[in-house]
Amino acid sequence: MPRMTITLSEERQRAVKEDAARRGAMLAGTLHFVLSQAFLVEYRRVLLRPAIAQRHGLSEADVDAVLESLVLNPGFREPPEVPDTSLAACEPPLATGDEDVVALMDATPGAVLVTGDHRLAEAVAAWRLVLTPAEFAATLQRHRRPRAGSACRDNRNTGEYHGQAGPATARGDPMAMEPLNRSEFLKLIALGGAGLAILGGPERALAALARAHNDLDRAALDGDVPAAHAAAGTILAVAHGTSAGTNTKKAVAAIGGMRRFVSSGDVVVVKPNIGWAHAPKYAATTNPAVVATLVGLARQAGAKRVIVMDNPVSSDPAGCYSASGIAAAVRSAGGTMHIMGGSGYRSYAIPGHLLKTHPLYAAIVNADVLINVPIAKQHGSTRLTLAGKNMMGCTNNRGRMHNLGLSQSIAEINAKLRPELTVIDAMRILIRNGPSGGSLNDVRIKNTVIACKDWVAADTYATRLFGITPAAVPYIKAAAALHLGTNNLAAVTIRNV
Amino acid sequence: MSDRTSEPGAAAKGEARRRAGGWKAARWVRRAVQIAFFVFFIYLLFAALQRRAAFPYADLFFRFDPLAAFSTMLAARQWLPHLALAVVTVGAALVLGRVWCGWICPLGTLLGWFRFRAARRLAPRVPPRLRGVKYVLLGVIVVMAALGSMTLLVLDPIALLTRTFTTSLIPGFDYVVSSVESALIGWGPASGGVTWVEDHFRGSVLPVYQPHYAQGVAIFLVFLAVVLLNVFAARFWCRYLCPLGALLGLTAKVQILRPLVGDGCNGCNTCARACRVGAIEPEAAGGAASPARVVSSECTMCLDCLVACPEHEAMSFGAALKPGPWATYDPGRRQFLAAAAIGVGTIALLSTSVARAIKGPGLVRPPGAQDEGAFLSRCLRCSECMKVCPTSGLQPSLGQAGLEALWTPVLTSRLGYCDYSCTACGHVCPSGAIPKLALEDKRTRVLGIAVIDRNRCLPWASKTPCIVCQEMCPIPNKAIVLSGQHLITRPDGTQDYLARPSVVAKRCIGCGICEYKCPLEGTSAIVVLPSNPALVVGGSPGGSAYPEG
Repeated sequence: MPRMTITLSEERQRAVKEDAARRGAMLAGTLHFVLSQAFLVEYRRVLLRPAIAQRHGLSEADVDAVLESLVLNPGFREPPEVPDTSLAACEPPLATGDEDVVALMDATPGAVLVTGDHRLAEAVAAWRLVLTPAEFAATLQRHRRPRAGSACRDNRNTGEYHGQAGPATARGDPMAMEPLNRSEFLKLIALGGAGLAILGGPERALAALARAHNDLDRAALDGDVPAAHAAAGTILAVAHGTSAGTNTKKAVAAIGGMRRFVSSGDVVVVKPNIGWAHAPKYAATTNPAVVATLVGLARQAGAKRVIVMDNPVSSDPAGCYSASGIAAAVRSAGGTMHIMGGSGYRSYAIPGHLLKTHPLYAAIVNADVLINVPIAKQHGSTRLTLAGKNMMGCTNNRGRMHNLGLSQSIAEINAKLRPELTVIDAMRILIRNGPSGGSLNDVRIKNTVIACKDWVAADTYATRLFGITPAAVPYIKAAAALHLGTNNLAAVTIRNV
Repeated sequence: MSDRTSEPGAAAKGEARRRAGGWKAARWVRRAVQIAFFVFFIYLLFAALQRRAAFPYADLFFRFDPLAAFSTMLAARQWLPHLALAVVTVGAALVLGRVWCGWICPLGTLLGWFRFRAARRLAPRVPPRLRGVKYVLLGVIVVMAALGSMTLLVLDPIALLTRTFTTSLIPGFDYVVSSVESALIGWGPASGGVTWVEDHFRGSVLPVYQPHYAQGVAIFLVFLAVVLLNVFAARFWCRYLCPLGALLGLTAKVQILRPLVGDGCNGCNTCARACRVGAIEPEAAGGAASPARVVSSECTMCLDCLVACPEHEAMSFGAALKPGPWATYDPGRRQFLAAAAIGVGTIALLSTSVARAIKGPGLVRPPGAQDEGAFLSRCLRCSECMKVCPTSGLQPSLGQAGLEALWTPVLTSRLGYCDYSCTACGHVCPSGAIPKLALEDKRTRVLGIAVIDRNRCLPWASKTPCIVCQEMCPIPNKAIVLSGQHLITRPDGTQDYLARPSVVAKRCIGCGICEYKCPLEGTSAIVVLPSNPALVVGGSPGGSAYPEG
């Protein structure tokens, strides 16, 4: 990318500053934003494109003047030299310019990315704060005017976190806004190249956002359980919202925080569903942001190692790991991916009357903490694959389980493995033609994450998402019969967050 | 003879000693280059991982192999630009003779390392005329290729070595490593080391799953036989049998740079004894007047003769534009006619195979290779496709397609299926016998059709719940449908859903994951058969599998 150097004489700087004060918050320096040399070059190129130049009507000299003003804002920063190469393996893969964006964010703690670029938003892991222009505008509106009732799906939404995304509006094109006056439009276009949109407004809004984000991080580690619920036994948290990472944190916070499950020095194994080489949008594998958030939380809670693995039903585990987006997300969060080779399985005694013994992966059995992170899928007619069935990825002999009696076998290996924490990814669910998926027509967006220490209760609750009764899923009943958990939701405290 | 005490003689000796030192150094270079190419060959084998996206340089040695390249272009009647680099090897042979054999060929290098003491005694007893066998073999291969048959390409040295590693050596190596790991993993001090090896090498140097290949033992025994022939003479294969050596040897008749025997030769025959492939004819009867001759079509340019010669003025390396000496075993008209006859006869014999009459049940080819005639006229029998197939579903064939198709790849679904998101095989095939397909195209190629045996399928035969085949079917709208689903309770109180699977013929592409995953022991209850185009709606092999697209 060609490098553009901008030098301004003192007199010119003064003139521009005066001008900037008239142009609103961003140029006046009341809103901190970060830019880099590469972005400036891109903005200039975009602004000078005929189609766009026609709309703003600025001459080349005017465009340069606008960009000069931006440069004078104290937020100008160069991204670090080498972006994390694992980001290049994101699904969808980051474009060259986008790697600079992420690197710039990493160099600026507490930065918020506002972008209308769906690919970038999806590819960037959710532990970075990402907002669409619509959400950001809504946030600014909320802080300017009294808050209108948020159009949330569940009426029991406590709305405690300001960072919670607003109404699930269509992720829009930053250009498709209400009519603006010329100066605001100018500012809008000035940053159209990278999708950033600033409408002016106080910096307070952004600071509140960052603060809420930090509060959420803290709660996700130490828990946020009201006194009334603390004594009530098993809590099942159901988090709603459009951000997978935020939902995961809210759900884990609501059941007591990651520190309740992970102690300092623990070896933690996270077991997602990485059974197929499909992109996350096909809902055949666990949402990478959910997995990565759990990895990040486990590390912050003091885990010595966080290892993520699955024995996929399809071939080429490394290919599944990368196509599903989970490998890149996990590495960015500080976890390691592990390929389950044949020599790692040992035969274990299994409680119950059916299996007696069965091969399981030794590293999973020996882990200090096992976190089960399935994705909710339906297949056959009324069969579901949720947390219980996800544990089949810990063995290399599924055939024997099918031969002897699948539901009882699922219950029995769970009796042996006993995951400490179960988080069900229901951001997208597969309602038909599972577990392989492959058609977007079979995917439904539920934007939900469920967390519970009792996987039987979690699976029981999750059947609701498919409109199925828990009694229709035999392995849940088998597991309850083995006292692995409760399938009676009345005995469990359900918190919607 | 030179006077060793006179001044000019001493200067000449010094000069000769310097040259000898130079040849010793050159020989070290040759050894280093041999090792480098061999290591590179092994590296390419291991780098061709079992992944859905293929390693693009896996077939690099084949691209430089003129026997493979020209045979397949001849048999397919098509110029294949991917294999054009073979011309470089021929060009090198025109200048430097069989330098490929002496410096580059991994099989040649390997055979050079297996030396048996008995060969020293037995080699002179091997009739020199046996060298003619390789020329006849080359002729047979060329004649058969001209008639469209690539069957004898199993004897290509690169294909032979690649196939041996793929089907026997690497799987055996993995078995040993995994067994040692399994034994050690329970033992405290070693388990850390085992974990380290697994973390760093599993999925790269070590395959993820233990590979199993049909006829791995037979393929290894062929390789072993080639190695053990060295008992009779050093590099027996290279001297008497290798068809690629024969091709390069014929080219080497007119090689420009070669070892030359000059007037200073005293007939000591040290060079003939040192020659690794016996390419130097000792001084003929007649005394000192006739010096040793280097037969350029046999010489692999190892430079040992130049180092060994005590009369250092006698041997040199230089340009000679005259064609090399013609030996008694070099091919003439009789050999060409014999090759033609054998070639035609072989094709005739192979055509009587039963496989030409009926399509056997196991004849399921990789995606894009459904036209059997076109496929067989290009397949090099190299087993690169088998090396990269992530499920090891591609196996060397024996009877599935007849003897003429020996060791060509067939999809054996019980061992491994065609992964729905994979295009690896077509991307490593050197000759394009399996075409490079884009993923969306590959998904439309019908390999076969799944058929359920209701006498064995658990829900049909014994009312035992099982829907694995339907679950695993990767077609987005499923090529297996379930009917009559209802909950059953067993005597021990456990429950499961019973439903009966049926194959939707027009959607099935024959990938075989159903056959692979069927939990029955032994033969699967659902098997993939080569498809009958008439039964596939709107389908011919290669047509779209589902009408809605």
